Amino acid sequence: MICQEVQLQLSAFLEKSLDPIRVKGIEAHLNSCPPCRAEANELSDCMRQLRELPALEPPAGFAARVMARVREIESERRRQRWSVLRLPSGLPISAAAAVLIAVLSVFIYQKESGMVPDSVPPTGSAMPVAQESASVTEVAQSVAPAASAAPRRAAGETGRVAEIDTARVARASNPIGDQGLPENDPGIDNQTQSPIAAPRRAPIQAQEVATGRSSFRSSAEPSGFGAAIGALNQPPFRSAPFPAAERAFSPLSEPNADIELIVRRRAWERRTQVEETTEDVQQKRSEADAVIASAAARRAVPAPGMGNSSIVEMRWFGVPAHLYGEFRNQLAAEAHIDSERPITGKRDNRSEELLIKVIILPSDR
Amino acid sequence: MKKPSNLIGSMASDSISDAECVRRIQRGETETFEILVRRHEKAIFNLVYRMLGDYDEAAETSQEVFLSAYRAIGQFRGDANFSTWLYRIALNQAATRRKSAGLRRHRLVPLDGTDFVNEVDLGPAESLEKKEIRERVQRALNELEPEDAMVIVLRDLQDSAYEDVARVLNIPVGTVKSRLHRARQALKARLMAYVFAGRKAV
Repeated sequence: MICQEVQLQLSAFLEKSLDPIRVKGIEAHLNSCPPCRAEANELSDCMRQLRELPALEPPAGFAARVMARVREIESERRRQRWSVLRLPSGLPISAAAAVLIAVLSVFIYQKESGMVPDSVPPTGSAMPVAQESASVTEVAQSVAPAASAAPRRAAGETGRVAEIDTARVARASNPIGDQGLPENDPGIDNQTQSPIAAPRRAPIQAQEVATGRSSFRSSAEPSGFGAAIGALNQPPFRSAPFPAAERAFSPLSEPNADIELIVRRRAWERRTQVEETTEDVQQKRSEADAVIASAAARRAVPAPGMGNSSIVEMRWFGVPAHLYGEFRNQLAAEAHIDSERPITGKRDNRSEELLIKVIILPSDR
Repeated sequence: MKKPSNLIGSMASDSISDAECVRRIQRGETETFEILVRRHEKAIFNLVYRMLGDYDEAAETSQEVFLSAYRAIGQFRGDANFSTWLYRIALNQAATRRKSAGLRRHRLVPLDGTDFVNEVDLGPAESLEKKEIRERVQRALNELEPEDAMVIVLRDLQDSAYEDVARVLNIPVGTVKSRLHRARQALKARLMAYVFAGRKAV
């Protein structure tokens, strides 16, 4: 064994991390080679010196100081998150909101024209945006495709074609008024009055985007169609829960309704309607899912600062096919039925349960 | 005079594992971070101290290490050991600090060797010679290339296994061994001049 070879392995030898055969070879060499032996001793000393370096104690209160800073970081983060959400003009998030609305409108359009199956989830980025920015977004009436438009332009189109009372919702909570929504409020109300004038298609599609932040809703008044359809929530009709799989993609997807009804609240009902309390609802509905569905429905309330008369609401009911007529009568007793549109043609099969989509328009003045 | 035992992967006696702590912090339980700080503060502080050779700098840098870890903990994935991850942050920050400190002042490589007195005083029983040796070892460490110093601090001071050193430095075990050899030779060359001269004189 030559010296160079030995010296390369000295480090490992001194750590005793060599295999026994090599150890024997090196030991033999060291015994016969004074320079290598000296080298080994020096290295061994050096390593011992290193190992003898004492471990020091960190300064007293180190962890406490770190944690104090950590809490500062955390409260700063919270403050920033909060301030983004509360910006009165909403400017930093308006772009995100515009993208969201564009995505929604494309999605709804595609679904309406049968281009994609209902269960197709929205694009991945839409959800976080929705959670972060939007409160209640209603996209309504004749939603045109904005497929290839750039976000800003898409926002403009969406603004024009969306049922305009939603413009107020959007502006109040999450303004995108600077991105192409109509400027004047009078026009808004006029357009609200004529959704059924829209030719040949489901005039209204309401999509709700939940914020997941109840604080946003706390100040909102209940929209209160509860009383108007309250009776329909009891057997044999029940508020239909979305199937679990569908709910997973909620709020951007919805079940395939068999029949779509568009009803209009009567003016006098606005004065007399009383929102059911949560307890009532829970008692009336046997299924836990129904409670969830009702909670979802209740989420479609106006944004803070909004009146409750201009909101398009959407409810779902499961109705046995042979009882559909009765359901319709009850509904008619409580609100004007503006249109009725069978979608799947399932209505004739009397053994099945129909999924009814009821779109509730604001009342006539 | 207790040296740090094997600190990588050591887990004190707390019942909550590092990984579980991390998960809780990621879920928003900010205060759980204190468990991790207390569990690793000594190892991190000593690691940084040996890299820098200055007590106050080490305290400041160690704090930054933990704060960086906290800020980035959302990105931490379970595929790495938390302490490995933390050591990596510590070594990076120490190397950066060392560079800027070296530029800012010549504190780390004092010409007369008198600047290395802020190591804790171990009492009058401690011989002056031993103290002097320690200071010189520290000084020699500070004169090494950062990557050489790292491997020595991890292996010879922290007593980490080769595999752990390799993980922290993100290099193969073979490279750890060869780098360790080179680093020890370099350290020895610096120490020899005074340490062994001193011993022969006794």
